[in-house]
Amino acid sequence: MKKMTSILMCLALAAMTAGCGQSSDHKTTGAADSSGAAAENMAKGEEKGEPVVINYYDWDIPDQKFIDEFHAANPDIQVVVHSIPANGERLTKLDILAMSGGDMDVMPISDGDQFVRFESGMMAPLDEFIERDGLDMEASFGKYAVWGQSGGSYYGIPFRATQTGVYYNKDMFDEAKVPYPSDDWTLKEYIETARKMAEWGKDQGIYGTYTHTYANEWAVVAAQKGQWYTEDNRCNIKDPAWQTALETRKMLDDEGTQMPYGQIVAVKAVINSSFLGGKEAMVNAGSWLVRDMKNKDKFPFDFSVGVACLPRFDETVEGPCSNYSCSVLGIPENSGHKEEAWRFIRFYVEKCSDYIAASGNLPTYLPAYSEEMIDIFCEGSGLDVEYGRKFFDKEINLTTNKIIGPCGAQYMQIGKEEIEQYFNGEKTLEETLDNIERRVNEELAKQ
Amino acid sequence: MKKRTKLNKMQLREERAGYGFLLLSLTGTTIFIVIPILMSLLLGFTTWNPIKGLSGLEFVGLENFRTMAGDERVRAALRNNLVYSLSYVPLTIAIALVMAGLLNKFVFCKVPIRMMTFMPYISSLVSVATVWMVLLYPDNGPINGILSHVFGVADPPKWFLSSKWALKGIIMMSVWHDVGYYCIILLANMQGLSREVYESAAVDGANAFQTFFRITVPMLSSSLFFCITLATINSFKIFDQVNIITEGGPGFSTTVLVQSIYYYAFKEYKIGYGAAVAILLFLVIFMFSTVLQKLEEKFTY
Amino acid sequence: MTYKNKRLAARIVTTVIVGAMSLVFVFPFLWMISTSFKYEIDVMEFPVRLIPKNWNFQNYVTVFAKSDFPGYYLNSIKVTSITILGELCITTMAAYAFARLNFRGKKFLLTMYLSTMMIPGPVLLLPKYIYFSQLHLTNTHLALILPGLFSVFGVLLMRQVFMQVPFEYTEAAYIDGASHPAIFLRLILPLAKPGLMTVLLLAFTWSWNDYINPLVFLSSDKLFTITVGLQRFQEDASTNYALIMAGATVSLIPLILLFLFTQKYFIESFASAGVKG
Repeated sequence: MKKMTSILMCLALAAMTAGCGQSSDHKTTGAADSSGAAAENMAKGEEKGEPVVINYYDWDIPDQKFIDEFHAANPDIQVVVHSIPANGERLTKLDILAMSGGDMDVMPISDGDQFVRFESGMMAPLDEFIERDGLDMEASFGKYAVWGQSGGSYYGIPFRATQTGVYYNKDMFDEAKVPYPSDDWTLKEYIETARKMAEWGKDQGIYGTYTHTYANEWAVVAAQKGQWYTEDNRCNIKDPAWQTALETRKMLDDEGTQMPYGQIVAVKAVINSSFLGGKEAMVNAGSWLVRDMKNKDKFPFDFSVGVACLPRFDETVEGPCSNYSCSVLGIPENSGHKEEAWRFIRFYVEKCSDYIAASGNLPTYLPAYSEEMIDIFCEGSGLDVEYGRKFFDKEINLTTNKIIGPCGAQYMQIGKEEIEQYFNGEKTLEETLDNIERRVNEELAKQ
Repeated sequence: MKKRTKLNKMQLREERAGYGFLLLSLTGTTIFIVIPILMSLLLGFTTWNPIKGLSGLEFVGLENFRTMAGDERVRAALRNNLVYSLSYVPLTIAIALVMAGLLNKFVFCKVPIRMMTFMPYISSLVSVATVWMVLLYPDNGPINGILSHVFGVADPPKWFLSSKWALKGIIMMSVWHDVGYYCIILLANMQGLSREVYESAAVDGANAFQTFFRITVPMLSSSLFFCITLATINSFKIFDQVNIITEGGPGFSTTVLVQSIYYYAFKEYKIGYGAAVAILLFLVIFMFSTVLQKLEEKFTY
Repeated sequence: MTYKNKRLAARIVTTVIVGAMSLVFVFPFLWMISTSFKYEIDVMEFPVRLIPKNWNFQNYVTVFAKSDFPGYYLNSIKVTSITILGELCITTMAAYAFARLNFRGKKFLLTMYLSTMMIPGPVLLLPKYIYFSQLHLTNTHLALILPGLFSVFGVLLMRQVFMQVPFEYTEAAYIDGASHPAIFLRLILPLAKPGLMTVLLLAFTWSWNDYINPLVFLSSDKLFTITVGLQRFQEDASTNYALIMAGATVSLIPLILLFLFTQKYFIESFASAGVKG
């Protein structure tokens, strides 16, 4: 009796935990097995002709039609697409998977976060694959190629880019009788326009413009001039361009032209629902806002939207300007299916461009670029093709506000922590810059 | 070995049953609690780059603790943790004690009131933090509305926006969340006190206040110490509400130790350093519980 | 005024005071529920209105039909129910051994259990991460369930409850030849119902409200439990507070229901457990 009960209890528990392990893993695939067992199954699976399962995680997952196409062309591979949240935790989630070993085969990284990961050995070098397939990186990806490169080797293949513009609410501009922004405007003109719109919208609680709280978002325009490092590779946060940029944001915050930094944090405001909800006349945002404009269910808006290029920092800068960053796909060093993952990445980059454009993102595979792609990009968003074209302009003066260089990630993090206190009015600009300089130089000295 | 020979059949059966019943719990506790504790202790003296797997592990002695001494994030976290605990624990226990005292004797509708006070405790911190965030919204949130319109506060606090008020807001919310729990424990123990003492006090003509402070509180001292210890230990584990509401900001004004562990381990992947911060957290808790234990020995009946 | 009347008056006054105090505890809940039925424009109105001027049910339609909430809900129900079922089995068995049986090493083991109580849970986060990443259990629900099964606090609480059952009851059965499992299942467990209910409620709240573990161990949207899901939902809803409050309300319903069903056992078991660790 005693034994019976204990055995029964053990069995019940074992059954419960086992059942749970199965159902929680990759429920959607049908080829379900826990990823731990996946490696063993691979050998068996190949004999039986079963497809190899590779796991791809992303916060902006591709159209299911594309995945179906891939499966049709590659019956021996089964891709499982996992959607992860697009918030600040996404990188942590991906990193944990990448380091766990074999749980993820295709990993997207963006916004300059990739370089630390390339250097640390987290990602597998792709040079061999590139050479074998004769993939011409320069011709295929142009300016985007560098985002997948570190120390002369490629670790990532660019697949999705974002380019910044100033979106404006045309209905509000019409009503306020303020002329639309031009593509050749300067920071000074931008400030004037924002003030005029704020003045007009004051009674309705509408702000003139909006600058989000992403790390270095304040530096988007100043990046045309500013340098993050001195010539001897020390912190150069005291560059006058950065000072001007910080003071500009603070001034616009304080005078009520845009939603103050602290308030954005406190109310957890986000660009898409804020601008598309009609809460400001202009916004500094990436091309991905077009994606959200297509999602009428979530962001129903009934005004027409225009896009201007970023203002020039001052008269000395050549326009038109934009700020950009690029996401790459890589293969974690721990992946057990590098060959299959590579085949997926290549297919993705070369065949998915139209789907990426259709989802309102910028593809990076230059040979796929065409006039139709611009139409596809704008379709369903309500954005006129004339504006959409600006994101595809090859002549545009591109800079980036991301810090790419030694300790870049820490530099951005320290900057975010310190600058927050300046924007919230708790520290002076001098104190803030002193702190950043000291802390970043300490980090640099450690290396 | 003497004992073994002494065991009769019955005792042997009992012993076997004892281990049988304990088997699952003991295995699990060893695997998921005891071994991890020891691992944490070891990890604190290493640097570990998890990207390279277990081979990336390297012993560095006290290096992590030396770095910690000059680490602004950890120093701010430790300070915030202390401020938080030293205000949260007395506030929570005092309010819980007063409420339990009132609930025990002089009140109608005990059951619904008891339920109302306990409700926050069972609610998830994530949900209630979300609610409080909006309640304490600085510009036109309900609480600041009441403060400025009803109480005539000209410049109500900016709460989670200001580094002066953010921690206070979090303390307030946490006290609100946990009072019910300690109130129930104290109330349960009050109801277990013998009636005779109270009756003799009534005969002596002691009023309600005197009875409460001279009889109830001293007789409750061991439960009170239990509550204080529990509240102290739990208060050092604070994370959820901070991560949801302020993520440690503005600046470092609400950063706490658990959040620093999370930050270093899972944002910067300094697992060894994160473990070292965890050891610091443990040492602080250990210190506080030892002091409380010493006090308890001195003051309880 | 007679003594009796005076007492009655005092009682009414304190009831009002305590009642007002306890209103502070429910006000945020009332505000949350009422806001969830409001239109966005009415959320920040002053004076605060607990009964909406214009009723809006759309927020709940959005929560249930247009968001991932149902999925988060199912995940939480799955994780929580498996965890508490297993936890109840394991902790009550261990508590029985500690409370009613004598065996060598008991004192040592009990001390070990007690001393682990002092270790803050987050300290265990990193070793758990190492385990699960080596076992490929990150991004599975098992990473939440497995550690959740072994609650030291639950064992100690149940031990106190079991110790309250008079030993004469079980001795008689034992002499009659009943085995320990039989005594445990037929005598002790039924007698300890209030204590069991308390542990059940506490175990439910711990598991349902767990935030840091899903935050670290779950990556895929579709595996999210209600706490991380609510955070995600809140980010999506941004400044739409009425909608956020609808999400928060929905996330709390199971807890409040369970609490209403088990609350009558509460005081009883807290008192009998002595809750002295």
